[in-house]
Amino acid sequence: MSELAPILLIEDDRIDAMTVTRALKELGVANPLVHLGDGEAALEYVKADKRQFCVVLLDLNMPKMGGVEFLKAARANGLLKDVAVMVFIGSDEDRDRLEKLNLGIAGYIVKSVDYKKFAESVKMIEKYITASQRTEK
Amino acid sequence: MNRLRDIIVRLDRALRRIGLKTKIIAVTAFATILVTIVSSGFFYARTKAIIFDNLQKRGMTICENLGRGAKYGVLTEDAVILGELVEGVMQNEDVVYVVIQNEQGETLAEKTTVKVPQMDELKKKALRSQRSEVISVTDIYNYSIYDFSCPILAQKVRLTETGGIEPASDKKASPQLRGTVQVGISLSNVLNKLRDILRGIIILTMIIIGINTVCSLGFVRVIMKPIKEIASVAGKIASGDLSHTADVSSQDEIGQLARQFNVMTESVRNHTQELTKEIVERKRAEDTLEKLNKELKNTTEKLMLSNRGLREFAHIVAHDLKSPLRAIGILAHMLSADYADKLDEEGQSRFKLLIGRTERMSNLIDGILQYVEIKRTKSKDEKVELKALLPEVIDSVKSPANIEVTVEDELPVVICERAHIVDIFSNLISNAVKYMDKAEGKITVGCSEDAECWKFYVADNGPGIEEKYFGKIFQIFQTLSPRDQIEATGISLSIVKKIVEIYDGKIWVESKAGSGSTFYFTLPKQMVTANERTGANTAY
Repeated sequence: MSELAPILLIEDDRIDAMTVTRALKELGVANPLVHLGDGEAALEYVKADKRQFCVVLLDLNMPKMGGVEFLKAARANGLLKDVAVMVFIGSDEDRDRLEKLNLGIAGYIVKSVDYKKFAESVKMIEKYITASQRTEK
Repeated sequence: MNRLRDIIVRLDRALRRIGLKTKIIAVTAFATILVTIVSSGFFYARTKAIIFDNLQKRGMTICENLGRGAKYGVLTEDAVILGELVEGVMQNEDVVYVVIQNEQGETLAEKTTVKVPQMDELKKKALRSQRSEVISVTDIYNYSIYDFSCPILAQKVRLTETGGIEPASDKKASPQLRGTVQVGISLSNVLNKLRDILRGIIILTMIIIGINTVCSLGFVRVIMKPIKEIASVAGKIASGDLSHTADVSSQDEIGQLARQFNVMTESVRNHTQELTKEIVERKRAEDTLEKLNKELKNTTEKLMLSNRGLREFAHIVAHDLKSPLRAIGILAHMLSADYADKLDEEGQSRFKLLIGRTERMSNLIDGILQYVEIKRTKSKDEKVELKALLPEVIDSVKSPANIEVTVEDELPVVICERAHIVDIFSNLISNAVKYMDKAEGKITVGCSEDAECWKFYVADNGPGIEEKYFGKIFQIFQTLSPRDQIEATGISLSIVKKIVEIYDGKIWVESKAGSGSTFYFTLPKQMVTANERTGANTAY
C-alpha cells in the first residue's frame, strides 16, 4: 500500500484546527495532515508542493487571504483540480452565499459550539477520504 | 370672368392694407366729388339752357321787329331809311351783322363786322313759302354765331298823290313776301359767361373737397384717437404690462368700447394676479414637496445605509463572538473528556452547564443573524401551495408523539418567498410544541378569509399566556419562562412578526391562561394571493 495522500487544512484558529485534528484522529483517519494558517501561505505551499492531496479543508475568515480568495486564486492557477475542497462555515447563510459563487465546493462543515456536533460534521470528511482512497485502488 | 375675379381679389387685398383714416377720407372725398359734379353739372346745364333760350328769344325779337320796321323801306327801296334801321339794330349787344334784302335777294342795306354767311337755298325757300312770320335759327362758325332770318311781309301798295302809300288792292288781300332780314348774334359773350360759371363751379367744388378733407381729417382724428389709445394700451397689455388703462372720456360708442375694454383689462389684471398668486403658491408647495421628497429620499438612503450597516455589524459581531465562544465550548468539552477521571460529579455537572451556556449564547447569536437577515426580495416570490407545504413544515418540527398537529381548513395558494411562509409556520408550530404542558397536546392550523385578507391561525391547548404579556412576547429575546426550564432564545415570535409585517399583515394572540393560545396573522390578498383572478396581475 502506497503512502496515504495528505489532508490540507487551512485554518487560522488554533482551537478549530485542534478540534478537526482531534475529531479526525478519533475517527481513525491515518492520513498525514498539513496545516497552514492563512490563504497566502497555503497558495505558496500548493504551488510548490505538487503532491496530490486527498482533501482540502478550508476556513473562510483568515488573515491575509480568506478562503474564497484562496479558492479563486487556486482555480485561476489550475491548482487543486481533482481535489475535493470542503469549507468550514458558521451558519447556513454562509452556505447559500458560497453556493452562488460556483467555486466547485464539495462539502460544508458547520463549526458548532458543541464539540459533538462539530465532530459529527467532520465525519463527512472521513467518508470522502475513504471514498477517494477506494477509487485510487 | 377669371380676370374680373382676380381684380376683385386684388382690390380686396389692397383695401385691407389701407388704414381706417385713409378709407374714411377716400370715401367722403369720393362722395363729395360725386355730389358736387352731379349738382354742378345739373346747375351748369340749366344755366346754359336758360342763357341760350334767352339769347334765341332776343335774337328772334330783334329779327321780327326789324322785319316789321323794314316793311316800308323795302317797298320804297329807300336806302337811307333802311340804313338807319340797320344801324339801329347794330347798336344791340352781341349783334355782329344785319342784312336786309328784297325778294329778289338783292341787298338793300347791310352792316357787318364779320363775314356774313350766304343764306342757303333751303332756307330761302322756307322763308319764301312762309306766309306767317317764321324765324330760322342757324348755328354757324362752330356755334359761335347764331344766324336769325325772317321774311318781310307786306300787302301791295301804291304811292298816293300826297307822296304817301296806300294798299294797292282791297284790304282783305294777304300780305306777300317783299324781302328778308338776316341778323347774326355772337355767342362769345354768352360762352364767356358760361365759362366763368364753370370756373366758379370748379373752384367751388375744389373748396368743398378741401373743406371736406380737412373736416374728415379732423373727424377721423377725433375718432381715431381713442381707437389708437385702446390699440396702444391693448399692445402694452398683450406684452404683459397690465398696469395701463385706456384714457377715453367720450360718451359715444368708442367711449363705451374703451370703458368695456378697461373693465376687461381690470378683470384680466385681477385674474392674472390671482393666477400669479396661485402659481406662486403652487410653486412654493412644489418646492416644499420636492424638499420633503429629497429629505425622504435622504432619510431612506440613510436608513438603508444604517440598515445595511446594522446587518453587517450583526454579521461581524456574530462571527467574531462565535469563534471564541466555540473555543470555550470545545475546550470545555475536551477538558471534561480528557480529565474525566480527575473530576468529581459536581465538576462534570459544571462543565455541562458551561457547555450548555455556550450553546445558548450561540443560539442567541444565530437568532440575531436570522432576525437581521429577514428581508423581502420580490424576485424570490413564487406560488406557494400551503396545502402541500404545511405537512412538510409540521414534519420538520419533529413534535413528540404526545402532540398532534392537524390542519383544519383548506389552505390557499399564496405568492411570497417560500422561506418566509415556512419560517412563519415552523416558528409558530415549534413554539406551541416547545411550551406544550399537556399530556395530550393538540395543535391546529387553519385559515379563513375576508375581502382583503387571508387570516391564518395556529392554536394550541398549551399553558396559555396572560393578557398583560400579549405585547411582550413579540419583542426580541423576550421569553415568559426561565431559560433553564425551557431552552428558548425568544427570537422566534419576533421573526414571525417581522416577516408578517413585511407583507403588510398583522399578527396577534388570543389566549386564556391555562387553556391554550391562538396566534393569528393576516396576509393581504392583493400581495399574496395567487388564484386565477389575480394570477394575471402577478404574471409579469
